[in-house]
Formats: sequence, structure tokens, C-alpha cells
Amino acid sequence: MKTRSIIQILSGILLIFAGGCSVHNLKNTPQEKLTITKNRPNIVLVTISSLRADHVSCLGYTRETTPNFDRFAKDNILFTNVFATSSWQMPAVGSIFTSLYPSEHGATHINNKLSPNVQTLAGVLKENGYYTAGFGCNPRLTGDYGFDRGFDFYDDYSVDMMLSSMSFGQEDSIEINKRRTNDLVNDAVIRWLSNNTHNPFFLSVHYYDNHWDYLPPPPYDTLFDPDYTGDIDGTEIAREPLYSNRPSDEDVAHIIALYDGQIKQTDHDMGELLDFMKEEGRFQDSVIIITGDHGEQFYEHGHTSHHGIFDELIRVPFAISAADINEPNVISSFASSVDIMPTILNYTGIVVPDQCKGQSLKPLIENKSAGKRDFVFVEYTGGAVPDCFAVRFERYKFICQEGSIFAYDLASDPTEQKKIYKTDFTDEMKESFEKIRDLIVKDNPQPENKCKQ
Amino acid sequence: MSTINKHIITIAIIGLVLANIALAEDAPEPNFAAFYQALETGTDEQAAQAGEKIFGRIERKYRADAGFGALKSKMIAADFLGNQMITQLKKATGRQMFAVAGELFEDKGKKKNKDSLSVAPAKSFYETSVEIFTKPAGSAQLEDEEKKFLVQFYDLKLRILTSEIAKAGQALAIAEASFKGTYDYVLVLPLLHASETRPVNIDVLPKWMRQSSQLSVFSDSCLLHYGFAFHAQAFARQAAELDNKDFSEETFYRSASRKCAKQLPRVAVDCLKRAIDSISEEKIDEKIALQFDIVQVWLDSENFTLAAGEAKAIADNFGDHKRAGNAIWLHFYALSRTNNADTILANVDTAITDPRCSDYRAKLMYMKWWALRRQKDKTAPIAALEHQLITDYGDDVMVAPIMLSRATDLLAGQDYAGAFELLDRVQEKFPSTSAAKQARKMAEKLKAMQGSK
Repeated sequence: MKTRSIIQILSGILLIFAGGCSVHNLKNTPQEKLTITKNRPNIVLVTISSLRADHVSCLGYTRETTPNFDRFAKDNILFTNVFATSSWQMPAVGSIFTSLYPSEHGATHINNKLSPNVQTLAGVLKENGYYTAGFGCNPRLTGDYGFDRGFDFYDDYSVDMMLSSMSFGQEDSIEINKRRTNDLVNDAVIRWLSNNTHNPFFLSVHYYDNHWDYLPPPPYDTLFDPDYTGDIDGTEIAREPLYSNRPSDEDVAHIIALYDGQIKQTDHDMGELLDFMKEEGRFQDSVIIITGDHGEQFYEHGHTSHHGIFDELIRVPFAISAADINEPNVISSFASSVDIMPTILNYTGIVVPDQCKGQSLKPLIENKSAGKRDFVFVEYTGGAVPDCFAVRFERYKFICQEGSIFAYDLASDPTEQKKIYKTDFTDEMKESFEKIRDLIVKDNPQPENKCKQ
Repeated sequence: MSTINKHIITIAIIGLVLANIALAEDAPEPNFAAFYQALETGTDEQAAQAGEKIFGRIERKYRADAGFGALKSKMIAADFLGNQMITQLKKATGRQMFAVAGELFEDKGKKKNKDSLSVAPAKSFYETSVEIFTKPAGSAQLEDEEKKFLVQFYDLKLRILTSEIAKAGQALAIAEASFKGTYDYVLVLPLLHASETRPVNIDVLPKWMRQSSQLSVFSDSCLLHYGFAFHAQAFARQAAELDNKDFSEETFYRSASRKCAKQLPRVAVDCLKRAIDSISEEKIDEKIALQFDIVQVWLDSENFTLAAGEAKAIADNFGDHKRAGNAIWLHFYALSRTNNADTILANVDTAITDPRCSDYRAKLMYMKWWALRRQKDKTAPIAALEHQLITDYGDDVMVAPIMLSRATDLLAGQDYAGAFELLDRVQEKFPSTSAAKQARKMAEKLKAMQGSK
């Protein structure tokens, strides 16, 4: 099947699915549409690059990688089953910024920008009186790719500029993947917060150091594997031969140790920002969300980096604080990164645009029964592996890839190693799958002609 | 102790035992003249045959002498090591021939095994045996004639081995064009018998390799494979002597440092230090220039701590020299590359006011600005420093990013007129910089924002 056909089907599925799932959605409940009021909270959205959930301490990881995130989560609301809509930064962050799935917001490939025709979180907040500022140095999330849309101030340049200017002509170009950048992002953010007189504001902070290459500074470089003597140095991880050729167990363990060191470094950097905001009293007047944009893989499915739809690539940490949250809580209900925009807008009292495919998590946070998802959607369209999409239920993950439909039984096969083709689906699987198929049929009368086994 | 060393010692012990058993026979007087005659006019093999008889007699004579025993152990170890290399080269040749034959006659479609050439680097043979050959050997009781013979006989034995190694290496190079290590292998035994005070004895090399062009190749091998600057120089010197050319140690070491700066920075620095040592004391400017070259090698190879140390050493040792300010600046620059903001801030004020650093004052202030930005709670001193830099060095392109930072602060504080003015200045004064491009984007956004409100 041609890739375009899959995408067209997926777009249809997603458009329908969002309206079809049994969730509490603000845009469909006029009684809950809130008007703009005074004293609206500031919004701080922190996204961490390539942070897979199962490497976060409070989500069960054995290493102590995230003490600051853990503390934040413990004092506030931690969601334990949040999924990105894609496994790499452009589509994944695009969904956070628009509450649309990648094939809808357009940032599906490095040659594609975030569509100018979709509303962004920053744009909606700006239209409703917020001053919007974004900080980061992810080379795929720049203004050139449309990620500055809706921001009054989008600082995707000062880290590069600082690094370049500090070379005093000694270097021709700066390779951002090999440089420490979080401290420079923090510097720009804290400086901005110190000078800021805009109220209310929306502040987006993106930490990029956790993205490969894995070059954490001391002491994080030797924190988790101090005795390693092999050749792996944290560079070239995402390129061949390492991308597709698993090295020795010791080398893989070292790659993971470096990644974990990077997580801990990033957590430390984020902790500095949280400390500053706490000192400045920002926790009292802000909704703060911390999440990962997508996960990372270490040969669980033959590769490094982050391309695909497996859980290690899409399950991300998510924690939220707000002044009106009274009790810390841990919520295991499913959530998607498309839910972030509706949640934020819900907390500000701004009406969620019809465009949004996600749903507010506020009812779940307030212990309301409404708002539970049965499943989440994931798309992959990056070019490193064949385009595919997945519907992730609690027990099963259904996947459509290259014209084939198959599933994983996550109860018996949590690492997603054994494909179960449609002919072998159990009754329970068929029942779950029927929900998806019915939705497809609504949009495409003969969907299985386009996505056969 | 390595396995190779254990084998060598075991063989040495067996050899000594066998030698003692042989003492039971009476031996005729040694015919030294016949040996020298064979050396002069015969082949190495013929000379060796003549020498073996004499050696056997000396061996019996000094059977209880520890010094002679050590010498014999070295000969046995050299023989074992030489044969081990020959075996490995021959095996690799055989495998290569077999692989080629297989490709030709068996399965043309079969992919060639790229790992079929598996010889260890020559340096590994050197490294595993160097301990044995650094131990002293030779008896004080030996008569002069015996000593003279043993020196010649030992060299002869080594030469026979190196010739065999050269042949085996050449055979492999023919079978597998990618093998370039013949000269490296030939050098193992000669280098094991050389030292920093004793250059390689070229008499132990195969006769046909004792030409200037070949010695130059050995020089490169010493430098680039073994990292031995001294021996590289000694070979180059002997090559020049054979060609009746002038030779300058300083020139050689300078050239050698350039040759290996990229791949072998430590060897390059060793060469530069030797070049410094080879220059007479009164040429102080040249010595200092070479020390700056060392700083640059460390900087280029990203050994920033070493670069900082070397630069500091120049400043400390040559405080009155005209380039002391440059050394101080490089010291701080190298520290910045290690992210050592604390050390920079502890000392940079002294440097800024140091008259020797007047040419580098702007850069040092910029460095301080950078270091301050990596500290917490430095907003006020940063603002003061930025004001000073913009005032004192407003025409220096270096302040462009600083102006942009100030403009960002003003935007955050809603001083739009002030921000506009700075953004205009950046574009006007430094139009070709990335700061100007960013300033233009910010100004356009600001105009649009103001227009919409």
C-alpha cells in the first residue's frame, strides 16, 4: 500500500476517533466552557527531549535518574501512562503544541513544517491575552519549522549564538548534539523570568541535552558505569553501524549508562529552574507541566535513536502542578500528548478550539469519573522505518504498517516481540479491533482494501 | 602477566636447562675469524651457522652466570616473538588466499568476509613484550672477544628474524592490499632493543631495507604507529646521513608534530617539546612560539584542561614576555571550553585589569559575561557588564549577541522603545551576523505584535 494512502486513512481515523471515544471533552460540553477571568494562572510547559518513561525513577526505574522530577511528581499529580503521538521531536512536539495528530498538524518529516493553517497552544493563549515565550535549542523545533507560531518571543537562537560566539573564531560550526545546552537555556529562561513584567504568561521550555549524542558532563558521564573500558564514547549512536548493529552487552550497558547520566544531568538542570520558580513564588500562580517529547530505544527492536511506535519510544513521563490542586495523586489512566493543550486551556478558562483532538485531563485530576481514555494513537512518519500507526489499548497494541495489520499482546509480550496477525486475533482482540475498524469504515467504506494483512 | 610473557619465560627456562645438559660435552676453541668471515662474505644463514658453535661454547662456559642467562633469555624471547609474528602473518595470508580462491571457484555470489584479515597491530606485540626486554643482560665476566662476538651474533639473529618478518608481511600485503603494516611488524624487535638513549640499530634490519627511502618509512612508522618521536627522529637522521643531507632536529620535530597533530595529539606535543629542547636557550621567542603551538594542539584535540595548563605555564614562566597576555587569554579560553565558570570568575577580574592583557580586555570581559551567565543570581552584575561592554566596545562584532540579550531583557520588561533601538543597532552595525538576522526577526514580530494591539 502506498504511504500516502495510509496517511489519508490515518487522518480519517484520527479525526473520527477523537470525536468517537467515550471521553469527557470540554469542547462538546458547553456548560463547562469557561469564560476568561482575571487572575488567570501563568503556564509553564517543560518538555524534555527523548525521555522514555521507564528510565524515570518514580515510574519504576531502578537507577536514581530523576530526583527533581520525582519530587515534583510526588508533591503534585503524576500520570503514569502518558503516550506521545510520535517517536521523534517534530511530530511529537507538534501534537503537544496543537492537540492534533502528526498527519493533521503537518510536521511529519524534516522537510515539512508545522502547518500554518492550524491553531497552536501559544497562539490561542496569545489571542486570549497571554504573553507567550518559548526557549529551546532543538534544531528541529525552530521558528523555521513553524514551531514559533503563536509565540510573542521564541528564543531558538541564543544557545547557538552563545556557543558560537564563545569559540572566538576557533570553530567553523557548532554541533549542537555534542554540546551541553541546558544550562544556557536555563540562563536565558531565568533571565527572562527575572525581567518579565508580562502577566499572565505562557512559558515553554525545551531541554535538548537528553537527545543523542550521549555526552553528559562530569560527574554524570561516569555515574552509572564507572569501570567501562570499551570504545563507546556516546557519539555516533544514532548512525550506522551502531544504529542497526547491536554491539556487545557491555557496550549496550554503557550506552544506557550514558543516556541515564544525561537524564540525571537534565533533571538537575530542570531542578535549578524549578528551584528558581519556587523561590520566585511561581508555583503559587502557575500551572506547571513537565513531560518528555518522546522516548528512546536501545536495540529492543534492533535499533538505537527513536523511530517507531514501540512503547519505549512513545511512553513518556508527565506531571502537573496547579495552585488549585489540593492533594498529590498518581493517575494511571491513559493520556496522550494531544491532551496537553486542552488541559492547559481548561486550567486557564479558555475555550478549547474545535480543532483539538485531545481532551482535558483536569477532570481526571479532580477525581471525576469522566475523561478516561481506552486507548491512545501513535503515528510514525519520519522515514527511518516504514510509516506506521498504532492504537495502544491497555492490553493490546494494534498496528498498521506497510499494508499489514498486526498486534502485540502486552500482557504476555510486554516488550512487543511477537507479532499477532489479524487471522490469529483472539475474540477479545477482535472486540477491541472492531472499535477501530468501525471508525475506519465510517470514513472509508472499504478500509481493508487499503490496509490488508 | 600476559600469556605471551608466560610462554616466553617457560621457553627460556627450558632453553637454559637444555643448555646445561649440553655442557657435558667438551667443545673446541671458538673460531671467531670464521664467523666474521661468514658475516662479511656469506649469507646471514651461513654466518648464523658458524656463530651457533661459538655461542654454544660461550653458553657452556657461563652456564651459572645470571647476566649471561638473562641475555640468552632475551634471545629466546626474541626468537619466540619473531616466530609468533611470522606465524600470524602467514596464517592471515593463507586465509586471504583461501578466501580469494573461494570467491573465484566456489560461490561467486557469496559475500566476502571483511573480517578475514585479522592480524593484531604490531604495536600490541611490542607492548606485551617490552617488560622482558628492558631488563639488564650481559655478564661482566665475558672476555672482550666474547662480548664483541655476542653483540654481532645477537644482531645477526635479530636480522634473520626481521628479514623473515618482512617477507611474511610482504606476502600478506600482496594477498591483501589493505594490509599496510609490514614496516610496523619489522620494527617490533628492533624497537624492543632500543631506548630513549639508544636509537634503533639499523644493522638488525633486513639489508635491503637500509636505504634512505626505507628508513623514512620506518621513521613514519615510529611516529604514527608507535608514537615514538625520538626513534622517528633517529631514523630520519640516518636517512638524511645516507643521502648526505643536512638534518635539523628542530625542523624534523616541528614537521612531525604537524603530521600527527590531528590523530595523535600527545605525540604531536611530545614532538613540540623535543623541538623546544633542541633550540638554544637564547632563542626565547621561538621556544615560546612552540609552547603556543602546544596549546593549540591541545585546543584542537579538545584536551582543554591540558591547554589551560600549558597556557598558564607560559604566562607563569614568561610573565614579562610580550605574548604573556595572549597566554593568559588562552588560559581563560581553554577554561571556558571545560565549562569551568567558577575558576574563570575567581581570576578573570585580575586579568581584565592586567596591563599585559590590554589587547584581550574585550575578550576577557566577554568571557566574564559568559561565566556569569552560568551562575545563579547574577542578573545585576551581568547587566552592569553588558552595559560596560556595549559602551566600551560597541563597534566590536563580539557585542552583537550581548545587544540581543539586552534587547530580550527590555522586551521581557515591556520597554519596547529600548528594545527597538538595540535591535536596530545590531542590524545597522553588524548586518552580516546571525545576531542581525535574529534582531530583524524579533523587530518584525514586535512590530506585528504592536500593530495588533
